Amino acid sequence: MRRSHLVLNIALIVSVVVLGAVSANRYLIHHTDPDGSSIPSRLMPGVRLDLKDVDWSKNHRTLVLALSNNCHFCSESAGFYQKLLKEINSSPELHAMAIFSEPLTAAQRYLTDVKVSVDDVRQAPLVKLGLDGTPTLLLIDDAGKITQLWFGRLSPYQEDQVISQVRAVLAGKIVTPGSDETNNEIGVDEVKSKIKSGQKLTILDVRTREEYARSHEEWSKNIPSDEIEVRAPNELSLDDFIVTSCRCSNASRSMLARDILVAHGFKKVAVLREP
Amino acid sequence: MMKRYYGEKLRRLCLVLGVLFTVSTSLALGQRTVARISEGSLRKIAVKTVMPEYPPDSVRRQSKGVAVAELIFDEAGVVSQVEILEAPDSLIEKATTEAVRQWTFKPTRMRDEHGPPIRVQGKLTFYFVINDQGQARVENPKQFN
Repeated sequence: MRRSHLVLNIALIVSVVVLGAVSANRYLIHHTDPDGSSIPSRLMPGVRLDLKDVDWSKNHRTLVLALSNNCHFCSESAGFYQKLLKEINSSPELHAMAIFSEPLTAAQRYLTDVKVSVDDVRQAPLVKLGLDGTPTLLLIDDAGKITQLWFGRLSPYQEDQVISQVRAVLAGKIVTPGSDETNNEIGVDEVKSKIKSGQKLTILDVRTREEYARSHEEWSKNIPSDEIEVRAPNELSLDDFIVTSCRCSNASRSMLARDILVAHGFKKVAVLREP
Repeated sequence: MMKRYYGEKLRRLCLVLGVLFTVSTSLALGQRTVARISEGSLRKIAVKTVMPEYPPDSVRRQSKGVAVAELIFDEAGVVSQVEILEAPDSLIEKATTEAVRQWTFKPTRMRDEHGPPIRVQGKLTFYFVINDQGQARVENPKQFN
């Protein structure tokens, strides 16, 4: 009898340990993107890149390439980086920096191997900075805030976008999230009067389909916030006046949607002031 | 007498906990990890892609617009679940489901090549377009052309 109790007690202890391990494993890895090309929750336009010992104010904009020696997407993108850095060509307006998790000597050797030449190379804890995947390209303003960012290996369309953004910076024409042109809030009455006066305006409701189906404005268009990056460039015109709405108290999803739209070249974007 | 009574109670308690452990462990192991990735990432690891066919009845009815499919592929890279989140009509919904079911992906592991194989969830977007001349075609989002 005692022996069976002992066995049962051991089984109980083992079961608790195994169950704990399975649960921990599940919750630790649930939201991770295997190739790191989705947007990490901490990094988005408007957020400051917390890189130690970097004085962002020295340059109007800084282009940061977050790379890794072992990342095959980084090596495959080397040709694009060469082309991109040629555009910058030691401009005082735009500073090019590469950051690696690996030691500096290994990073510099890697850059030499792939023939990518930048103004500055730094070692930084990428994961701690919110950079869960490489390669990631970031455009940083003189206050250290991210104005645009691109994840993973880019398609030819996205590469053209990056180059046109860099050219815009060099020409001093860039529109950034938080600037006067894109930081507008707009009230419902103002929206209605603009529509009545015939102005072309799109109310972009960024809630989930279920939330949208429950109730929505008659003249609005629904693109859930996680689909904006793919669908907006295909379904909205860059020249339209777009008002983002989420019917949420702090307008967080509307503001995130606005920042994604601005990052994709939409110039007239405002957030609907929720009543 | 008392000792025997408590001994019996303890034995029953251990048996109940043992059964609970077996059931909960089976459930926990059954719910395998699913990683959610962006459409860009999903398309990058696609091995076989199949475009949906535009159903002739949908063309005749001038039914057009966006179709968004959500899929899960298993540890071998085979699509195991497809749900159409949005489609212009039920025929397009069916055509999109049939096409997406044929996609295959590079099996994906967590963290690196030594990590455990995982299931992956993501969305695919297709545009069903009819131009002014009445010609119908199905397109990928322009970023992925």
